[in-house]
Amino acid sequence: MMIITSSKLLEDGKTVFTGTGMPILASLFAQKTCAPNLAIVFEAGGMCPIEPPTIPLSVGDSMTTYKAIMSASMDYTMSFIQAGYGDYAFLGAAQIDEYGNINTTVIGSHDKPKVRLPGSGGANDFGSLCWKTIILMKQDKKRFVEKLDFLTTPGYLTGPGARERAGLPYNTGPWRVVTQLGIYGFGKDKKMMLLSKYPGVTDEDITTNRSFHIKIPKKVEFIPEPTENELEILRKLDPYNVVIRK
Amino acid sequence: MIVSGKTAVHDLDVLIATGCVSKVEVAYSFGHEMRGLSPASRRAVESGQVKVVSEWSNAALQWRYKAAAAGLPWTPAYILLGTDTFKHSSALVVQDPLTSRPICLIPACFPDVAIIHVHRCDKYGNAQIDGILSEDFELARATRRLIITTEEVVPNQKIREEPWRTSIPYFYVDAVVEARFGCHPCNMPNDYYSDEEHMAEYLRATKSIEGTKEYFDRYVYNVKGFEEYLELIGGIAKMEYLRKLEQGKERFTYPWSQPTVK
Repeated sequence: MMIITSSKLLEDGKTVFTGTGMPILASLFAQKTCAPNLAIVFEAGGMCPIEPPTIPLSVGDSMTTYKAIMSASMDYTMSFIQAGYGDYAFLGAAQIDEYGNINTTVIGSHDKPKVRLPGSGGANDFGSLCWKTIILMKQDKKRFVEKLDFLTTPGYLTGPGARERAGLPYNTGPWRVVTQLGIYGFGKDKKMMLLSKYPGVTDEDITTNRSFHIKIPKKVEFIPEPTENELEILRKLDPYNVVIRK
Repeated sequence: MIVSGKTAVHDLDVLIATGCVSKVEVAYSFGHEMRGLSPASRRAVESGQVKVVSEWSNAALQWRYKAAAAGLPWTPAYILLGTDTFKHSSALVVQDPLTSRPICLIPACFPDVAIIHVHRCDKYGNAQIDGILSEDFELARATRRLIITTEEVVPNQKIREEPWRTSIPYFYVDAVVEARFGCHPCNMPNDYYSDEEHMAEYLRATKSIEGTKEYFDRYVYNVKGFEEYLELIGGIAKMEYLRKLEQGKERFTYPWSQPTVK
């Protein structure tokens, strides 16, 4: 459901830089449905693959160059987004705060970690340099936190203007957060606000699954349930159920 | 040993699991991508056996090699800014004299040793890589010592027939090792796919210290050479299967993934 919902955010003809897992599948789904000319780019160098027979297990897997237009390098892809060619960044996260800053480095303290996570990978680069960042993650109190254990990748940092003051490119930043409850955006104050939710999700579901204030407008649209046809397409893209079963 | 952990997956995990690593500079480390977190690395870092000395991003480490490759002290970039990743790195923020805006300076990294596995090279080390380069193009020039391991050693003539395919020339290369299937259990683009059965066995084994010891006794310490290792993991039949997998002619399996009912 989250995969199909987030895929619909991607506009046709744009470029998307994606992390491993659900974001890859969502990008491939978009390519098959609403955005046939979506250019999927992988940081290790795979540019614009189409219809790989299985889901790439990593961003350097040979599936990332399946029927691709170029086998590039990381210097190439990262320079590409720094020059403004990255329309969307598509990321996962372990923790997020109200300004859309995310943590993928460590749970607990950095010196004495409770859970050591892999670190930034390409996330800091994507979140710094792409125009619109989409974050796909599970929502609960421990993940939607007041204060991150570690700020790996910049969202709006401490509020309006903070990204620009830090030296990050103008008019970039987190754009949407997609969870199992709904889709969130960011207001003028650069704080997270609800945009739409799944049928059956109540305001209480939203408020019990977060540790910071989220603005909930009076009128919120519902996200349509995935159709049987959409689910069929999704299963065909992940024939071995690598991502879907997670 | 200190490892520069850029998109480091199985390579770094094997070194950590065998106690070869004391410190890591992290961009992506301790994970196995879709396969989940690496049990051995997590154990080592969370217990303090391995220290994380700095945090980076993939582009940051990439550009550290790029600066080194060009013989420059740093690469300027608009990354890391405003984050804890920056605070735990050795990058600097300065005011750009041309634009007056803050900009991040990513210091050069000159590793003592790098090992790069390639599709083919000649005896001098002129190497061709089929597929994505990731950091290899810059890393080969940044490192003080470079060991090339190769699927095949070809005559120098073959390199000269298609010089545009060379990504690492001999100037940078200190040693060449011929190792057919040397990338196993990882993926060699256009040749053989990753061995997910073996990865699953490895990830299961490394969940415990005893299991880790048994795994390395079985596959490394009690093995005479690489040929014996190849026999242990399933021999030519297994590698032929992985070759077919890479060509999309076999069914993929993901034994590390626990099926859940949905």
